[in-house]
Amino acid sequence: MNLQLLAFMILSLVTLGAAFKVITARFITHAALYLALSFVGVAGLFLLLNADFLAAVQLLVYVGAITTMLIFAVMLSQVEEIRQGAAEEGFWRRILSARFGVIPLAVAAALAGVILYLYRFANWKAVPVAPDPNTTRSIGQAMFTTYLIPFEVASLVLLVAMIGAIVLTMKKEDRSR
Amino acid sequence: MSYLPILPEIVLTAAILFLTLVVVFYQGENRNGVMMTGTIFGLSVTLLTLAFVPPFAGYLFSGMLTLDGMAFFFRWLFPAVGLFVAFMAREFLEVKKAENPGEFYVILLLAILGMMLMASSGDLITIYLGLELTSISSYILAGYLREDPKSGEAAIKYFLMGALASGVLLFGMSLFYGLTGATNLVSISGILHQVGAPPLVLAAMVFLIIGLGFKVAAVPFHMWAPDAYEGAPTPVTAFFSVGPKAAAFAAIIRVFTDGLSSLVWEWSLAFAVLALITMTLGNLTALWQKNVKRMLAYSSIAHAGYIMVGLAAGTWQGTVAMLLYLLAYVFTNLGIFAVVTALGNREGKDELTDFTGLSQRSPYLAAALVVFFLSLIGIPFTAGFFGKFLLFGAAVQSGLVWLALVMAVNSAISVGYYYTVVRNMYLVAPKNKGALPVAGELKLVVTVALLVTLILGLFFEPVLGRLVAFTLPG
Amino acid sequence: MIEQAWIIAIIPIVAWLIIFLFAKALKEKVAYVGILAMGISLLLSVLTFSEALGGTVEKSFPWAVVGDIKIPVGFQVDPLTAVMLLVITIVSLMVQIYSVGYMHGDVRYAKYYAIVSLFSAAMLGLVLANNFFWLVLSWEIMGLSSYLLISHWYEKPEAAAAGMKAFITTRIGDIGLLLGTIMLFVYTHSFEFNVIAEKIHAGEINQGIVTVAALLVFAGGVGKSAQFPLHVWLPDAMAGPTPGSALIHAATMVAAGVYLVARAYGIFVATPYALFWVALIGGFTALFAATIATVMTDIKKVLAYSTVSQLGYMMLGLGAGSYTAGIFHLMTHAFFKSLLFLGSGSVIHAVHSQEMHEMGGLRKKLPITYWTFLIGTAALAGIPPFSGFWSKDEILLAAYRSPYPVLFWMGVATAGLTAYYMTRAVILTFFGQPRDHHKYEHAHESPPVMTVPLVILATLAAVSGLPGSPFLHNAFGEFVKFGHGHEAEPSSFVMIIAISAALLGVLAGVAIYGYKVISREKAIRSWRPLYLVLKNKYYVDEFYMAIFVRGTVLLAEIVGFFDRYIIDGLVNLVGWLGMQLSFLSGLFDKYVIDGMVNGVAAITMALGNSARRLQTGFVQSYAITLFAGVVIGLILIQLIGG
Repeated sequence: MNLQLLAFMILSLVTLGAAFKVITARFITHAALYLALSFVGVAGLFLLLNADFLAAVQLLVYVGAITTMLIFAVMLSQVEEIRQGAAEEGFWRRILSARFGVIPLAVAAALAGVILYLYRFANWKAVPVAPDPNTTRSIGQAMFTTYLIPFEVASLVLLVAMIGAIVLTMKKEDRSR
Repeated sequence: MSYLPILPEIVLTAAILFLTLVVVFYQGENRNGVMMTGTIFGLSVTLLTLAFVPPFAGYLFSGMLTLDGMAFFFRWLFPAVGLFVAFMAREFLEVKKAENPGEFYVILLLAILGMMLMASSGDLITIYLGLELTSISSYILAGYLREDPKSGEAAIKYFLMGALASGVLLFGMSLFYGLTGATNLVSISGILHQVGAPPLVLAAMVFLIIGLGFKVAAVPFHMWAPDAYEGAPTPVTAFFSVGPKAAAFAAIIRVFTDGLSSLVWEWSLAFAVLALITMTLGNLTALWQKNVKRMLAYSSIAHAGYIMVGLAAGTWQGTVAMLLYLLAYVFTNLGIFAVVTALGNREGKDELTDFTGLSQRSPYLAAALVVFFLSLIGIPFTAGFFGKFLLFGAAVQSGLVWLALVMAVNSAISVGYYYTVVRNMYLVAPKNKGALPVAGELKLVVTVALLVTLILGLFFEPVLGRLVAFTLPG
Repeated sequence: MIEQAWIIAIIPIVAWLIIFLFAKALKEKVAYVGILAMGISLLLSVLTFSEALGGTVEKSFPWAVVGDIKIPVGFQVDPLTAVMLLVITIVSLMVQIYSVGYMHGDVRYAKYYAIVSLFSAAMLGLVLANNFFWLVLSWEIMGLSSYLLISHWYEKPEAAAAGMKAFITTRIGDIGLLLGTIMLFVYTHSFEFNVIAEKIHAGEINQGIVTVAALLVFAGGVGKSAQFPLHVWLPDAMAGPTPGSALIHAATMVAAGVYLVARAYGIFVATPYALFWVALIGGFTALFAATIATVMTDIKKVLAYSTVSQLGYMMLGLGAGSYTAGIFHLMTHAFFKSLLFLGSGSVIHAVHSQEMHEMGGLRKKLPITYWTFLIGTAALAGIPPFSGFWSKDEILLAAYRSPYPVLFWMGVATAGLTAYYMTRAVILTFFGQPRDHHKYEHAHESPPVMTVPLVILATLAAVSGLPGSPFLHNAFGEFVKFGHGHEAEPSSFVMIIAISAALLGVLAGVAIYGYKVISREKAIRSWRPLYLVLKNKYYVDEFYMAIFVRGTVLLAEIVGFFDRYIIDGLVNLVGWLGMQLSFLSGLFDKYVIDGMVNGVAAITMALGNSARRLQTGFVQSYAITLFAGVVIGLILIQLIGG
């Protein structure tokens, strides 16, 4: 086992484990912190792929900006504990409940099983790329030539998300001022 | 690289940005009406630009966009849908006291831009971005009435399920990228012709079918639709039932006939099965609905099933039939929802019983609704007939006689629930007496939809000729 | 004229439009619009008919072409069409004139005339169409007008319910016709009757497919012509205005099923199996409905079951192989049955009741109605030389010569029963002492606008059989025939049996109701079970209610249940099972430790919990469905592809 594979294993374990904790954490602040950890793991994966610029952006934007904003939002909205809905009591009830029980687990397991089985037939199109010392430059170039249209559209997606966030949360009084 | 062919999209984007500024800085009276006028103006200019831009066929921006006849068809259709919805929205937003009526139009325009992009994309990336632009706008529109818990519920459900389906779709796309090293549909098609159909390619295809099948509300991925349609503001429901649905069909045609043409046997079979389940379950469930928006949701699910028959045929005739059917369905359904909006603005609950005695309260709306229903059933001299007939012919030509027969039986079943409304309108005494006040722009929308439905029903040949020219292979 | 015969169908459409658009301005003058239009159509039909004696015309051009799919527009005038045109225009004109008196003062007078005009246009279009496409289209419009007419007085719940029933029942047959049309189109690539018949005749199509297609088309006829087992809607349809019933539910529209079989005869003769079913269903319906008609007390219900029975007779004629006999009876029946309906309308108009037990002795009060009704009865009962005798005789002859003698005896029994129940109706209505003096006192003859059509129709009912009689050398058979026509040679045995059956029926009627030789009450008492079965129309409605209506509701519930709950239900079921398990174990604990009281509390809690469970987790269930769909799709695609 070479070092790269070991690093990959550790990083994926961190990413997935943190992601799992995001959806099971009892306190929403904890969930947000686990989310940051998961993002860090992804940044590490980018590094492994020689994508240094992406890794940096991942750390700066997702871990630095987005998670911080999330935590601020959580603190301002005063929702601390995630209410668990109908609390399941008793061993069997917990195992068999619809929300966190056997059926979703079975479906997820079946899905994972089928996908893993199919992966045995995979014939990935490996494109050998020489490590690029200047990824920033090539990303910038791709973004304004080949991927110009997606880049512009992505900006519109952000615009609509912003407008939507404002519209759905802003109170009427704010408007009349 | 020339920007001229996408001038309509550029005009629309400019209109969106301008209207965003108007929303922020215009503080005068009647913001709702001003914004509606601006929207109508923007869309009209977009359509005019589209009409006068010199025709262009080919790939643009490194293959990100494919501009061909089909793209032209949808780029023309979607702004027209936007015009209808904008006209329907003004009075509704006013009556329901929506808090921020202005932004509604901006989000609507953004959704339409996303739909136009989907229809003319030549790359998985642009398809996905167009889809997300449309979807995110749709989630916001669904929850636009913040005071109405049903609207909020619709938005949350639509959003959660939509995000999951997007995940499924993306996973399929990433598989294709991994297997072919390309996201461009033409490149993917070339590589797939060489590699054949190994198991993982088929698996990736299933992810795409389900991800996009969710967007057109194919059974069994339809469960979000009735909830979202019922809860969303009525003009938005009208928009959902035609806009994103037609755009998703455009994307399906793009992905499967452009990109996965070598797997036609497999996906046409999959769509045949989906079509069968979708139309049957949609129609049977629609029979027992009490809420008119919910009923129309199931009706639109059933119609998605009919349209998928064109995919099941897997031929260019099938594609032509789908386009013509979509054209007929879009305008007919918009007309129906305009009537529902007009009624809902006064009665408020959208129950089937609200239709009682409509023939006395507003004879014009009632008669128009009857014509629209006839078109949805597929009675001759209405637009819907030729759509059904062509789908039928395409299915028969591909040897799918059984599917064609199922479609005929389903059409007959669907008479049942449309009839319930007609009976309420004509044979039951009204709950509330007195003429129904109808806003002028709603009357305009109904009239235009009626004219399109009837004219298409009588003189469909020129339209069909153009569609055939658009989609003929080679 | 024959070259432009399509105009005949356009004129009533114009009338319909005028009535529809100017109903408010014209008020009751709308009647003149309808009558004038139908008069012109009648005139043109006569011209067309006279030209059709010289030869047939067929014109067709493609309306819409897509690839090799072609929708034609076309019409043909052959003897069958020519006869039908005359019958429809005459009856429609008479009914419209009569309605001026009958419908006077009705709240929806204009709507009534609009429906009648629309219906006439559709029916004329139906018989002119030279292809299945326009036939089905006209067929549907006819169905619509029929349904609108039935629920004309929709304030009455039974009228609204009858409309619904007609709508659903005929729809079952319509789906058959639609599927049959599609099948024929798929295999012959044509909608046109001639092309289809030629291709089938040339043996291009598999026999089994032709049989299935023919039976599907026949299903359409069974629905529209109210044949067993889809006959249940027609008696209920009598809730509509009587003259409308005369036109649509007695003379013309219900005969469209018979016309359909005749028009598609080229398909039916290609497969003997299909014709056998036509004959069997027809013969059975004829006998079945006639027995029910003997116990009905509502005069319109008697006539309705009689119509079902006579339509069965026509089907029997067609099925037994005599195209001419079926159409001949269709024509004579149209005249005498519309006469009987209009006559009963006149009676109802006079006494404001449909119950024959509230009538009696009316012949002195309503002389014209009485005499014309009597002529209609004689024609229906098959008394020579009235029209019904000649047409019935031909059908019986065809049945007699067919390979299935049982059909012949079914026909004879029906003829006897028909004579009996019509005699009974005439005696109960017009003879004896008035049973309701109040109604009797107020009864008086209808105005001329109603009696003149009666007299004209009575004349036709009397003489319209003569073209098919030996006196005119069987001119009708020479004109309307299939292929070269091969009429069975006449048989005096059949004629004697037919006359005896009719006379026997009349005698029985007179004996029971006229001279009371046999006491009606005593007969009913000794045959009570049979009487009850007949009175309840063989319990067919109840049977359908139990099987189909409940069944459909159940099916819909299952589908709805699936849609909304099955996924959730599955999830909840497992959860519930687990809960029960834990509950059982908990119950044991509780029982041992705390006794019954706590056990009851536990049950209550468990119930509350399960109710709450139903409320939560819809979105989770949707998500599970989505991913379960992914898994199933992945597995299926690997199984079929690869």
